[in-house]
Amino acid sequence: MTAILIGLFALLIFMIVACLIAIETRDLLSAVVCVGAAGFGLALADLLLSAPDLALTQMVVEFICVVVLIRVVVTRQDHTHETPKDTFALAAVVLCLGLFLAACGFTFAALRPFGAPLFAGPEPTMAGQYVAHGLPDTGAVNYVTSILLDFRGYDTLGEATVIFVSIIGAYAVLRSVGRIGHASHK
Amino acid sequence: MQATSESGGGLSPIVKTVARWMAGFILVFGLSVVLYGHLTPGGGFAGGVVLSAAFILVVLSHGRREVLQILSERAPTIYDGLAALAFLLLAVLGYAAGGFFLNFLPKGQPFQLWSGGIIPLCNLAIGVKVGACLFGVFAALAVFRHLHQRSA
Amino acid sequence: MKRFAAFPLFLLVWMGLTWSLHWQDLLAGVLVSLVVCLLVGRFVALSVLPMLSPRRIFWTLVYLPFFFYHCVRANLDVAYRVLHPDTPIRPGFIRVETTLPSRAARVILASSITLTPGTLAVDLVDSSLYIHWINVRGKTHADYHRAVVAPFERILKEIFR
Repeated sequence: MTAILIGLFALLIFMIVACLIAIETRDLLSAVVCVGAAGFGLALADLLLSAPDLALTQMVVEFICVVVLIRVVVTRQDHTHETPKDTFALAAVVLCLGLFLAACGFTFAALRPFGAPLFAGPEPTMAGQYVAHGLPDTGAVNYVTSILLDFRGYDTLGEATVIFVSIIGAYAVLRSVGRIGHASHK
Repeated sequence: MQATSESGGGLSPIVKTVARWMAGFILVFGLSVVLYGHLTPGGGFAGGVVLSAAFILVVLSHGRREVLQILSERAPTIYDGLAALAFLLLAVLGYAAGGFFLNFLPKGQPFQLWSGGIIPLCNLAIGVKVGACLFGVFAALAVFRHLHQRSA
Repeated sequence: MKRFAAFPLFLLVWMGLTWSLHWQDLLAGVLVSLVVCLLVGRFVALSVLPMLSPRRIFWTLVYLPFFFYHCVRANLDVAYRVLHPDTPIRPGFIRVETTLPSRAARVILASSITLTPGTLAVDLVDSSLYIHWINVRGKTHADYHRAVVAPFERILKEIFR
C-alpha cells in the first residue's frame, strides 16, 4: 500500500509540474506535449489504483487529443501577447483560492482515510449490492461495464447524448464554413 | 512535416503505404476492445477512440487533398446518427419486456462472448458512435477548414 | 473481390487477440473481418494469395534472422560511435537507386533501413531512396548502394520476384 502511495504522489507531483509548464511556456507545441504528459500520468495513476478500464480509456483519448492538438498547432502561426498586470484580479484569485483550500481542509478532515472507500464496508452498501448482483442480474463479467450499461444505463444514455449534441454542434459550426467554401468554389 | 502539411500533399510514400496497411489491423483491434467490453477492460468509449484513430492515421499520412478521394466526408455523420439511434432503440426496446433499459435478452454463459444480454450491443453502438464522432470532428478541423481557405 | 484480399490476415489477427477457438469468438471474428474489409479493404491493398507461395514463405523465413543479425550489428556499431570519446560520425544524406519492382517491396526495404539504427529512410521518390546515414562511407552511388541497400535488397528481390 505504501509503495502505491509513494508512486501516486510522485505521479501527482509530475502531473502538477507538467501542467505548470504547459501554462507558463511560450511555445504552443511544448504546451501540448506537457498536457499529454500530464494525461499519461493520470493513466498511470489509474493503473496504480487498479482501474484498467479507466486507464485504457484515458490512454487512447490522450493519444487522439495530443495528435489532434499537434495537428492544429503546427499549421498555425501563434503570437503571444503580454497581458497588463491586474492587481485586483490577482487579489481576487488568491482570495478565492484561499477560501477553496480552507473548505477542502474541512471536507478532507471529515472524509474516510485514503483507501477506505465510502461505499464499502461490513454494512450493506451500494458497492456491495453491485458486487453481489452484478453477475446474476446482468451476465457481464466486467462489473464496470455491467454498472455502466445496465444498472446505470440511463446515465450512459445521457452521456452519449451530451457527446452527440456537442459533437454535432462543433461539426455544424465547422461544416457550414466548408459548405460555403464548397458552394463558392463551384 | 511543416512544408508537406502546408501544401496538403501528405507525408512520404513510405508513411502512406505503412499507414494504409496498419489501418485495417487497428480497426480489428478496436472492434475487439468494443466487443469484449463486458469480459475484459475496455468497452465502447475506449474502443471507439481506437476505431477513430485508424481513420485519423490515414488522414494524417495522406494529407487532405488525397484523403477526400478515399474517405467520404459524409460517412461519419451518418454512422454517428445511426449508432445513437441504435443505442436509444436498445433502451426503448426494454419496454417490450417491462421497463426502460431493461436487459431483455437472455444472459448467456458468463465468460463467453454472448453473455450479458444487451450489454455487448450497447457497447457496439457506443463504440461506433464515439469513433464516428471523433473522426468527424477531426475531419472537420483538418479537412473542411482548409477547403474553405483554399477556395476563398 | 479485391477488397476482401486481406480478410484472412484480419481473421488471423483477431484469433491472436482473442486467443480462443470457441465458435462464438470465431463467428464474431469472421463478421468483424468482413466489416473491416468493407470499410477499408479498398485502400488497404494487402493481398494474401501471393504470400502463400512456398518460395515467398521460405525467403521470408530467411529474411527475418538475416534482418535481425543486421539490426544487432548496427546497434553495436551505433553504440560504439556514441560511447567513443571522439564520436567518429560523419552524418549526411545519400540517394540510392533501388531495383525492386513493386512499391510494397520498396516500402519494406525503406522500413528495414529505418529499423536498423544509424540509417533512416527519409523519402521514396519513384525508385530512388533518400537516406540519412550517421557515418557516410564511400564516394559513389555504387558504394552507398553496396553498404546500405544491397544486403536487404538481395533477399527482398527473391521474395517479391
